[in-house]
Amino acid sequence: MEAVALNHVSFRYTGENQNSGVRDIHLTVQQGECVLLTGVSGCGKSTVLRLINGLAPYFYEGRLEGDIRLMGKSAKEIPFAEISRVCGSVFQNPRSQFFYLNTSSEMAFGCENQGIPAEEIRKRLKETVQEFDIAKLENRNIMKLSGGEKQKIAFAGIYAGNPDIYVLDEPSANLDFDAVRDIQTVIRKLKSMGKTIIISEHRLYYLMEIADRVCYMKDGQIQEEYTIQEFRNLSREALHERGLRTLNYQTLRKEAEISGSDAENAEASGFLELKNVICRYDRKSAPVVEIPCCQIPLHRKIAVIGHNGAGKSTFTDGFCGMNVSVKGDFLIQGKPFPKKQRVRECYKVFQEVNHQLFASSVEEEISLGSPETSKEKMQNVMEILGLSQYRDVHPMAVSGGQKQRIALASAIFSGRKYIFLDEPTSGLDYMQMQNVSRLLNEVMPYLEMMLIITHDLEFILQTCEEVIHIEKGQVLEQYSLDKQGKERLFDFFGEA
Amino acid sequence: MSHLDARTKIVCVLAVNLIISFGIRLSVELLVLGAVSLLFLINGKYQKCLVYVITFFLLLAGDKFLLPVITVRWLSTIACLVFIAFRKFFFCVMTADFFVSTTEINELIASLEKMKISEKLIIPLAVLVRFFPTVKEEWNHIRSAMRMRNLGKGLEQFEYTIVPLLFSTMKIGEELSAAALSRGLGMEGKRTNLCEVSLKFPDYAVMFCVIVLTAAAKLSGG
Amino acid sequence: MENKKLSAKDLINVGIFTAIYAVVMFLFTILTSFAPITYVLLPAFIAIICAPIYSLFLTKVKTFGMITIMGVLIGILMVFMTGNSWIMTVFCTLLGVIADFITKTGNYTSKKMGLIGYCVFAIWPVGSFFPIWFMRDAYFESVVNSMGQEYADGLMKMTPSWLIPVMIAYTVVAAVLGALIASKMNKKHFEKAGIA
Repeated sequence: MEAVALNHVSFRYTGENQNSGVRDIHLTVQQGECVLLTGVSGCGKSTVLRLINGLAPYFYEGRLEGDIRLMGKSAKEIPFAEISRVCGSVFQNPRSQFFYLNTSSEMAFGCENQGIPAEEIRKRLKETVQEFDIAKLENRNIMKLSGGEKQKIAFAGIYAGNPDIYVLDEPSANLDFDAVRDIQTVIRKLKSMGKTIIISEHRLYYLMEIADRVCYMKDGQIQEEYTIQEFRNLSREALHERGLRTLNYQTLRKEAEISGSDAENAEASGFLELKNVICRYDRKSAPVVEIPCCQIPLHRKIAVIGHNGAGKSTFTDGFCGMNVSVKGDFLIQGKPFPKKQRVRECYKVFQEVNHQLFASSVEEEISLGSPETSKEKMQNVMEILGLSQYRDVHPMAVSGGQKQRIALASAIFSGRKYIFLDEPTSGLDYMQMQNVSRLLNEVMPYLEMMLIITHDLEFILQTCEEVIHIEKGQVLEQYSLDKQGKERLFDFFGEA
Repeated sequence: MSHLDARTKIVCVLAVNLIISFGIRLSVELLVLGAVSLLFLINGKYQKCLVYVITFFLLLAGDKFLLPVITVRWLSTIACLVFIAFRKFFFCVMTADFFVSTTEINELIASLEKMKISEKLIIPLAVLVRFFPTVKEEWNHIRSAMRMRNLGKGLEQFEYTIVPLLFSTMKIGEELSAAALSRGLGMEGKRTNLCEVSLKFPDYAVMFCVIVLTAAAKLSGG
Repeated sequence: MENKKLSAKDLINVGIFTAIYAVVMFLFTILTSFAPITYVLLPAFIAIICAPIYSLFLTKVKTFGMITIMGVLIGILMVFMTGNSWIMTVFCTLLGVIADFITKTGNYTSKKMGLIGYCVFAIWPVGSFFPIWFMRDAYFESVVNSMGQEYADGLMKMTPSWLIPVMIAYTVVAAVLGALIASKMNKKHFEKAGIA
């Protein structure tokens, strides 16, 4: 039976520009099938999912044409709230999709809304907890969980409601690779239970063994449809032409072996030295990061890798002199680099870059809080970062990639030389990732040091020259990305 | 059997509120302090209880020993405000804290549903409690970003905090609504609540004591 | 006039905006509570800083009841989180209902009616000063007990009963000022960025 059928469906959001929305979508998904929707950001894949779970047009208002059927029933005949009985949704932001603050109440939320008797809900919760192996997440404060754990709770909550159709909107976008593997297990399990799954993603590698079909979308239309076999046979060039990420590590590995030697560049032009550095959340708490000795080469793009909770963020925050109590010595070329100076010269670009944009135009944003007033320098910085045309635009009105550019521009304009980036490529498609990589290359000559916290292997291979691997609050290893270094990097991502 | 129903705690908060409005007498104050402290202790909140008791006696000491010595007019007005008016306030804060720190949101919802309160009030209240820590979290992120940029002197501080805060919380709020609605919030028909609450013997006992205390305070005060 | 029912979406929006309103109010209060004078000026202060939040909230309001519920919730918060008198809940609810009615006469689109509604709504913090006046006798009785009759008379003169209307007056002025700032902020940021 057809679980989902979209027949010549078009949708246009109210009040937004002509290009938003989708046109003439024709998609049928059989029961038990797993269909992957992909395409560059803004191609309309989220809109297709919203049409299936009813959020468009009920929540996201707009004009809908065409016929949508869920489990054989026309969507028009199902009241919006009832759709949740047949169709469950998981979204990309783990922080915003829960209703309660307690995990166990949260998992019951959907069932409670459906008015299922309490006894039955308890039984289902027990099964769910067993099935997903999440006994240790029961009765916890959700705010204190990691992104991956939150996402698991979201899946569990939907599962308890027992819908036939699962709609997943980039569920891995904000997760590190450990968490991606966790939700991969969950999705595989759902598939084996015969559930229908429709998922939109940029990160493709973890779905290659699960999906049955792939729809490639562009400009609000489904442009190409592949069986998973056909899709896996696409060459890397063919994928990149479409703005898509590489499908698996093997390809990246082969690629790296061929182009192995180009990263072996000259000796570093200086070091920043750490001696007996200890970072803690506050003066009384236990040390989170302890580094007896470490030399960070200057003028290089350095990837900071490590598992979730290893202390990467605490370390970089401590370096910048933010929120974290730090003891120990920082030395540049032997000269001390005290906290006062670090606060002035370091800058961190957040993963959630929205938090660091304050002004009402790009130009104002770049100059904000900076002692610098030179018009020429402003012109120059905007040119380097390709922001000249946005000078008077509101920083919140541009794309995520542009926001990163603005944040970097303000750092460079105010003379910051030590830059930290937190997951600059999370949730990005191949083209956007390329852009970030290019951007970092462009700004590097103006900086002394760049540390990038990241879980993105493809991005590291393309961008970085050196790796610092932090684990359990300590620098586990440090290597430059020559041939041997790449082997070590692959080993780390391979076991993960 | 130390866990009280949210309804009982609501009665406690309102009763203390009422008692204070009758006017304060030291004997009544000590009685209320003892009663609320007992509630804290039964629920294992020893540290909080200690802090409140110490604060109270400091205020009392200020009232008895410091106030008579202050002769400057404006200073004694302020001192009077702190030691007497604030002490009145103090009991309400203490009881309210007991309520907030010992009640889970789903318990509260279950109790309110039992009280036949409309879901038009319960849903926003639940969202409100859920959203508090999120707003606080966003606020902290934005403030640390401001520190990093060396932003915010005087009035500017207001704009630079509130604008990004509104942008980010509105976005999260929209995602939260979408998620909650897609999970059937507001569906026709009766909603189940997994959390079962009922008034048990301790609840009745506490309520009885509270009523007696209130009546006694009224009689002695009036 | 068409009488639409409150949807689940509306109810969630009320919760979200009340949370933002309350957190901003509490945190800014803490940031500025260094001098006793701010205690008396607090209602005006809140009227200014919360105006941008209220004005964005208004863009979501299309149904009667949303402003009322916001009033009730703030009233409940003030009693159960900060220990105000129960009078506060009644007062906040009342103001919420009046503001809701006023805004409704403008069909929830009129800027003028929205502003008048806000001026009414913004008065609520004055409610926390009511006990000192409504329960004046009890309050001063306790002052007499500890300070003596003479002192109490002096204090009574210093805190005249006309202070409440004065407070309301400067709060309303502050609300208008806040609304002006909010509308500037709207133009400068939220409209320019394409939301609201």
